[in-house]
Amino acid sequence: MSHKLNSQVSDVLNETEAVDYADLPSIDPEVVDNTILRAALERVRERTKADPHMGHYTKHSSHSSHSKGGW
Amino acid sequence: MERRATKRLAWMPAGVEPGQHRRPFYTFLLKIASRCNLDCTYCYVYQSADQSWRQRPRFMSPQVIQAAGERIADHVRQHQLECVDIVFHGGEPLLIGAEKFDLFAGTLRRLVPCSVNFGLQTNGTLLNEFWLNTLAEHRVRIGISLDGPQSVNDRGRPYHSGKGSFSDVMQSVERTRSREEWSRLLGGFLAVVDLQNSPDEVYDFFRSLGAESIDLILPDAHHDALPFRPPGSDGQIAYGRWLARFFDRWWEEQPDLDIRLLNEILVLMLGGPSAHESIGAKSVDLVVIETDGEIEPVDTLKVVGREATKTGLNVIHNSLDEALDQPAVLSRMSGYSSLCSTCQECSHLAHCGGGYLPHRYSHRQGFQNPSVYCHDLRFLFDHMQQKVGQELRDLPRSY
Repeated sequence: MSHKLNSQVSDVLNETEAVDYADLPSIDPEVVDNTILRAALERVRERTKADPHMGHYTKHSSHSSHSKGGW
Repeated sequence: MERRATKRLAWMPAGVEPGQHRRPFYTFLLKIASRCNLDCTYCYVYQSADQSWRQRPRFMSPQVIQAAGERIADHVRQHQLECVDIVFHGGEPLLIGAEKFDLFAGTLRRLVPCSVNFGLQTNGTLLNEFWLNTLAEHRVRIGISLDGPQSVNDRGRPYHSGKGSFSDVMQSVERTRSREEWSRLLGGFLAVVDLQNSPDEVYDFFRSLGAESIDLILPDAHHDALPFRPPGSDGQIAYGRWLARFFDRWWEEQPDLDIRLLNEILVLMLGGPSAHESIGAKSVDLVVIETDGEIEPVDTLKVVGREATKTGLNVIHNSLDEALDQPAVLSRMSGYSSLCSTCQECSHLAHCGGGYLPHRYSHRQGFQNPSVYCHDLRFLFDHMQQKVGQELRDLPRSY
């Protein structure tokens, strides 16, 4: 098995710039305009506060019991 | 003999002991039917190396569901769990019939001494009013497998006759959504990525359907059974490009739509833990119980072969705590330490966690490989990281 990339693909993978996430916890989700990013930041906060086990989520690919809403 | 079956595989790096990561199960996946009325081209059960489904009972029996319920109850008491998920799965779980399901769900509710979230994953073809009443009565949340519009879905998800399933599934979707409680019943849609389909076409379909939640799954594959890729150098990142295009549409339009895989990657990029078993290295606390009561670590490991799925344990004779000693289970509770050195040294380790376990397999090195989708995932992470970075760069911080 080879994980060597040809030069064309390597260029694609390397062309993006790095992002510094070190101070992410200080971002208030409410100031974020992008609703998808805002929801993700809120999700991070919720999960950081929650019990660290993953029992609150169905990790299986089944799409039945994890999503918002529910009974 | 049987219990040693999964130990021959390289689940962990040499010299790494997984015992310290032992933790309880919170999700119990019950295979209540071992057959399906569809003949999906990519199915990890019927098209896979592990053909053990041929020897299994077609349906879980009341005796097995009783034993499963008692084992789950013991596990809940033993570990003082407050809430667990029980997901009904197959095959096609609705083949079991609503009356038998009613009995099963009632048995489990009666036996398990904590809060239980019921889920059910279905192909959607048999979802009639009687079934919907039964599922609503037991507060079951359903996921429907649907790959996209008719031309897309019917290519991969035909009946055994060859007829497409799309029309029947859409009738079921409409039937479900016509009910007052539909948003509580319908958890979302599950779509398998097929490079023959345009990401725009699939995205537009789910938007026009008014879907609130979808998930995207990469085809089950590993290093000895590679996924389809178009010829040419770009083929190495074809799935990454497909997902990146899907992400772009979603990111730009910002609809009220949860795309689970992409959302979980965003959470990982922002420093949180993933709630998706195929991404991120946070512990997977899931166990599978087959129709005959056999306990399995991960159902999609069937694409690897019987040596990866066979534990030799059965809820009739064994506790679920015994399954916690299985290397296949422990490796998924071991986070980064279960990964090969290539993954552990990768700059995207925190975003990826090695990807999905079956995707890492090769006969030669067991699970000590990067994902067969490694390049795709790296491309997607770089792409998403750039978009997220642009958005975050100028935001005020509250110190």
